[in-house]
Amino acid sequence: MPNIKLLQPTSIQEAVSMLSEHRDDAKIIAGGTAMVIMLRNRLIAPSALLSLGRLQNLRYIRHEPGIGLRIGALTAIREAEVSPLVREKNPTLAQTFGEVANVRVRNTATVGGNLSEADYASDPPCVLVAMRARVKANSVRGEREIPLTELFQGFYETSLAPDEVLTELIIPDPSPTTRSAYIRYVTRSSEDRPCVGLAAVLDMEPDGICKDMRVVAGAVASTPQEVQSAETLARGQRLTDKLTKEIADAYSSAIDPISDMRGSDWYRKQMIRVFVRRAIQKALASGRNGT
Amino acid sequence: MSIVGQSIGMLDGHDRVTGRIPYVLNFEVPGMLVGRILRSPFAHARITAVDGSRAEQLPGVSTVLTRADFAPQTPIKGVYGRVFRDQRVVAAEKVRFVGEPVAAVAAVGEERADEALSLIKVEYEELPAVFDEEEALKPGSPLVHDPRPQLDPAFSSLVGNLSDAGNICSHFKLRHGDVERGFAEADFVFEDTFRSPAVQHVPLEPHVTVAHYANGKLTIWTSTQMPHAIRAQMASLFNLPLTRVRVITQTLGGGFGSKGSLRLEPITSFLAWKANRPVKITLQREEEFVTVCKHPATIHLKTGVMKDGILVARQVRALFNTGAYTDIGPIVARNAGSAMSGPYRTPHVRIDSYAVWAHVVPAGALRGFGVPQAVWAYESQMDMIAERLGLDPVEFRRKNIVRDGDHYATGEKLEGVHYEELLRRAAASVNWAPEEAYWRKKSFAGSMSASQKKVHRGKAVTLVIKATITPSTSTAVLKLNADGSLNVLTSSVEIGQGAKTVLAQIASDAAQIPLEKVLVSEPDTDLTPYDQQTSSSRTTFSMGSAIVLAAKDLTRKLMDLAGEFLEVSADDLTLREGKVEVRGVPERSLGYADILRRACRGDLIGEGAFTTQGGLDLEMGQGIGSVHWHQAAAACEVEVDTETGKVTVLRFHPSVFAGRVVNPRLCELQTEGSTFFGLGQALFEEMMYDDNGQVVNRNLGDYMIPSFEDGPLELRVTLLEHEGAGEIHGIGETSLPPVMPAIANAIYNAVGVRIKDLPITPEKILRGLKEKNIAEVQHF
Repeated sequence: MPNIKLLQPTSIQEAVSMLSEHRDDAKIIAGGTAMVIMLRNRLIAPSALLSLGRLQNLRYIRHEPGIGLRIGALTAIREAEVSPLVREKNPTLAQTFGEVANVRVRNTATVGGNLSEADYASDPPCVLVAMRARVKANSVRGEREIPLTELFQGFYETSLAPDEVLTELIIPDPSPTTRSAYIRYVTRSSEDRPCVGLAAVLDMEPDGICKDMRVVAGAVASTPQEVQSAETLARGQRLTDKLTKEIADAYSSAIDPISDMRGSDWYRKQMIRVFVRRAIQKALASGRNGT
Repeated sequence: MSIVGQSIGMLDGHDRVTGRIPYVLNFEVPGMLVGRILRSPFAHARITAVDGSRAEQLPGVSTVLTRADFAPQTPIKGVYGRVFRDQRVVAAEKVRFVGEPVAAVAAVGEERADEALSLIKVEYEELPAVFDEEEALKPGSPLVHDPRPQLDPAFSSLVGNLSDAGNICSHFKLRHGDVERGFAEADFVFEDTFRSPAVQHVPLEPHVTVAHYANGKLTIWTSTQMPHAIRAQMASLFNLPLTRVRVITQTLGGGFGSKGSLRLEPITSFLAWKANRPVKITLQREEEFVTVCKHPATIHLKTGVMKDGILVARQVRALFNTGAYTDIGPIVARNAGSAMSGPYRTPHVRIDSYAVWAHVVPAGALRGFGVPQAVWAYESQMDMIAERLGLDPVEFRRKNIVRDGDHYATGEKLEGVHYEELLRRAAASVNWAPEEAYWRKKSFAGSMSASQKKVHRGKAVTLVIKATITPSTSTAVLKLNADGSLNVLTSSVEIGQGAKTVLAQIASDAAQIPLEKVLVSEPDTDLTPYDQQTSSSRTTFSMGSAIVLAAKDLTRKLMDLAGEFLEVSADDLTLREGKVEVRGVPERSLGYADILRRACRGDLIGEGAFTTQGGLDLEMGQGIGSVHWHQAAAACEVEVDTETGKVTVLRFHPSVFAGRVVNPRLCELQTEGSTFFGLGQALFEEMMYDDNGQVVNRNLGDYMIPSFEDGPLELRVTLLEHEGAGEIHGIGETSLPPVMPAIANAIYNAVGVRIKDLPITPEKILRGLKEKNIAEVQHF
């Protein structure tokens, strides 16, 4: 990697002003697990790398009542996975972070990096979309919040501007009646990325009526897929096997999946049907918030 | 007590887990340059121009190697290949696969070398290419080699007379009995075709070579399984006597057959020679995938059988896709071809096993040497035939297995055959019962779709017969030192299999020297004697036998000397607990160190050479195929999710005939390794090519190998030993081939879906289930 300038800001302010200066020429690097592969394979050739390594104040996990979990962008995925706070407040999220790649990668890769990369075959994005999480992003123009439903724009594409840096992930607290599940389905080695990842977040009345449902399929298309017309079917209804199957069928027919070496579009359509159903059933069977 | 037979830990185990093994990967020489290779982007193209002048002018670049360095007027031809001389150090007129080396540079660092590569200008004129072994044989298919390359005369008996054979590289024939008569007599004849894809070895340590040419001598430190063969071929490339080429090997970080031929040694050595400085080339992972792979194979079986399940005839047409360059493809095709009747009595056998050229990555040895492709075909078909005849597949096998005194399809008489016992143990290990066969399962009286269960279980038992390379030679030198310690000088390579440990155990026992005083060398062709190769499950057997012979030579010399000092005939002496002792008079004895001191010797040398005889003739495939035949069975139980097609291997039980076991724990570990290796190939390993002949999944994010999480929930190895002290049987790769058909047959017994193309992906199973359900609905 010859002639790449390394920028090492020590504050967010410095970071965004450097980004503003370099615009399209600089790439942000945090854990580097994805960025280094892209550099080595010459998929990208930036003239500068902006390392967030010195912004250790972006490495935190906090909980604020009324807001939810706040995870600094530089937090290692492994830290979020094993955090007692995350495990207590949102066990499904902790489990999801624990499914990413392998422990070596999780120790290095960061929560913010994972979202900024927008890899279609990563586990956390679809779960975070289903949980209606949002991120904070900073630039010289100031700070803004982006809902996860709007963050992912395409393969490795986000709505972050080139001079913006993702600083924080906010996951609102699930209501006491929320149940959730994530299923990662791999077709090859257990360390493969998912062929299909399915997140289900259900808000269930004590009498078994579904108040709200959010089901998001990951790894099947360029961005996490949510079929709102299918979700609507569940509202105010009991989630019988028949209804669950209808919702699963609706997801399967609405999504136009990709083909890759983990499965063809035909296979993914079948798997969306199977795992929408299984994820809903798993969420129903789980305790509050996936405990 | 004998140390042979004990499960001692690997002698280098501590060094391994603390990162102290001096792999060639970590080796450096002062003043060393880094070499990098420019590779072809085309599967088949004529090279119209190569210009390295701009790269040469880049500061920090020492040398650029191109075809101009091997121009016809130069004394060095740069052409090599063990069977056909079809490979070039760098491509000359043509490139024949995506990834073929076209030029190389040596520079002060990797980055500079990479920059230099980008400055080399190559112009190509693209030509039509062919990738598939069946397509390659069709008339009018683009020819990979035209004219045919020069054949090494030593291998003329291997290839046959094929002057006008298109892309056929070699043709092995086996003719036994009268196959036409057999099919005429048979009650049923079944024909099926089975395919195996290219897979990669994925050694943790990539190919790596350091070369230095100085004072008329070429020294090569290289991660290879064949130091002596590398020396011979490099000497020939450089027109040097063997004394002027020194090959040094350290412990390998894995090889699995990938490091069994010239790989980086020529290009690194020529760079070093031209640069007049040491050069190191380390392959990046993606380069591994365009360097060597397992032979993709298409195997068509025609099998004749009587109503009662007795096999009468087997005809095979096997195509092994050896890629763009021959390497040892013809030997793979022969090795697999010679045993395609499996471990079964078959009176009439006709086998045609071809190595075929195509514009894809050259294939080579990969754990099992063609046998996994063959066993995938015949053990899958055995279960298919059992179903068609309504037989219990285990009983069907038992009826047909070869037994002591039988003549194999190669004509040789079989001795020491253990299939009855292996089959019995394997079947028992999974509690096999005839009702386990899908067609006998009562629960499947109706259609699958009638069943509400989403997960189904199935079991299977498979067998393998496998040759070890014959003839072959191993040589060992034992050097007894003045203090009574022993150097074992051997060119066997420690490749993770535990060679250093088991060879030390064998030497310790044979020479009666405590294990802690025995040290096994690293291969160094200047110092350690000839060994053919570390492959084919042969090291413990072959090098172990050479060490036993060397120990006999050494102890005879010790007794001769001791006889003089003790004033008795050497015949009256015996070895006991590391001393030479007068028979029946324990107080009259001499320790080894005493003998050397009294003889005024600084050391004492024993040497042993172990050679096996045999080989098969070209036209009929008759002769001695193997000095002894390796035998194993596999049994497993799997679970199939019928909604997804996903397979979970619940338990796997390999049973291996191991002769005399030197180190039970290491044998088990080797066999466990084979099981994992087979699991990956059974369920997901596959090199994928795009339409232009480029490997698309050439990294470990896209190409999957099994992790421990993918292993069977239960994995228990059975080692079958000879009664008493018998001969050693290698087990390094024996239990791999039956893994893939065991899983396929167990899947069939679970859900009734037959997959004939590896790997058995969930998607293939799900498609099979859907088709089957449609078929069943139509049937009912």
